[in-house]
Amino acid sequence: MNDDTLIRYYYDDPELSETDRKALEMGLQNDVELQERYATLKQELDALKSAPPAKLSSDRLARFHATIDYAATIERQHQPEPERSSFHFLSFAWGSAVSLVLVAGVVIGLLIADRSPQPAPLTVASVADSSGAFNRGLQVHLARSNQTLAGLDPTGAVEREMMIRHIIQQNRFFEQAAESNGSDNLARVLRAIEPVLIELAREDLSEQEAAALQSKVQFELHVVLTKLKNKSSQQEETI
Amino acid sequence: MRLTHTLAALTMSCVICSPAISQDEDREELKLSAMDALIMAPPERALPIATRVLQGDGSDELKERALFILSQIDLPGAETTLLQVAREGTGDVQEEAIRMIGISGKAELLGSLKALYASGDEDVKDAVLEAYLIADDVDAVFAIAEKAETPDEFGNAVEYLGAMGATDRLRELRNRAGMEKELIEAYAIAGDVETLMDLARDSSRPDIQAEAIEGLAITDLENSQEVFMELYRGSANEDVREAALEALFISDNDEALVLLYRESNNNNEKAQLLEYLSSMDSDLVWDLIEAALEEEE
Repeated sequence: MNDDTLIRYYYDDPELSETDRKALEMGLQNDVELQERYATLKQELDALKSAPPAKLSSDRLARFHATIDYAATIERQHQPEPERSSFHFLSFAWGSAVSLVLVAGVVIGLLIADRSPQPAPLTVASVADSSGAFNRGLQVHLARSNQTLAGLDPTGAVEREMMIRHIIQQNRFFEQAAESNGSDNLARVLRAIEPVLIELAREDLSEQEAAALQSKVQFELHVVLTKLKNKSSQQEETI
Repeated sequence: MRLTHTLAALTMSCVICSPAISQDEDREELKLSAMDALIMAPPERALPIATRVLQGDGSDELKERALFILSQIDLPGAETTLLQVAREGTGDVQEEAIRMIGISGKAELLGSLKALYASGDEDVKDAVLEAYLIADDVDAVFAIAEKAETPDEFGNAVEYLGAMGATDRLRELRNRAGMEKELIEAYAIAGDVETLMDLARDSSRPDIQAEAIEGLAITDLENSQEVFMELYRGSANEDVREAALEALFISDNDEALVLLYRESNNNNEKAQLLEYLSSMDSDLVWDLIEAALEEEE
């Protein structure tokens, strides 16, 4: 049971599967080590705020699911229109390049973050206000997304759609969690990445446009991951 | 040591860059790699380098990365440079600087976007709205919607309000004449079932009623089957009935379509319902097709 699942359980994430939830609850009853880990994590998250744990906004997630369902349904039925706009919530369709883009983004981000030197730090706004548990959870989420993406058949449109839905759901979850934890800067960065992913998913993008957006997401994920890794390894923050 | 080398490379590339060199792919790759490494630098070190990149002849991609670096630096110089590029930059770089102001979340910088929106072209206006979305500044987007003069501008602003879940603010705009369709889309994005239900049950304007029904289809409506069937049965208007069928289709209510098929005595209507069921890949359709063919025989 990883930190990601524990954090989602703590925040009562509606997207946590019933199987995972039951397995975790059983583990919390019988597994002493898990009990200790959860107690530590809970203590850290509780300490971040005086109010009780904020429940995730299920309506926002539901709206998001509905929007993707609608877009996917319409996409299956109709040819995509060649219209180009900067950000249309109801018109995006998941392009075949997206899974590869995300795989590349996360993999490269993790690899670079792992191999980068860890120089003398500095203090910046960034994620300095987020908890260690939260940082670890976010890193685990990105790593798990990477595994899911890497194992995906790039030709399977339905599977790809499910995978991207999951990643964006998780992105939203961590955005909400970041807000709850007072990590406003991290919440804004996560919020900023989503429109780029939606834009990137459009089918009418040229290869050049897709490559530029891909590069942008990779870079921004790289920055977030680097900061999180520095934070969780007790180093002072870089940019 | 590696960091020192990459920073040196980036600094040198800023100093000696020319249009010819900037077109060199290897050189560009080097600059981008150096920018990646800049993430690890102390902000005092990173700020002047990122600023020089923005002032140089590098690619837009390189400058956009420099802008992201600046958005993560909590020093006054970074804010000044971001604002300068947002005001004086052009094209993608200017739009990216505006987006980065959203990421920075600084109230003073966000406040400066108001004037940029007023004087900017369509792309700049979009970038400002996106920055407000990123910064979760509902009031700023609402102010733009209130002042919008064209349906396009209004529609764009309320779409962002919908994405921000600003239901109450959207309801305040409900009486904007001639903007009903734009608002319905925003209500749907915001998941405002209550307002959409009001509009879907109002038969005084069938075109608006049909739009509201389609909007409802993408919300998290609990009793969607009953609602859409009721709307379908309760209207004689073709567009409204078509919208209700589409809503049942979108919300994956194949059982409702079968019920409507069975209670219909109109062959055209039955054919239409069969078409929807076939598109849904519903197993229920096979019994109906079999029954229809047996009747033929």
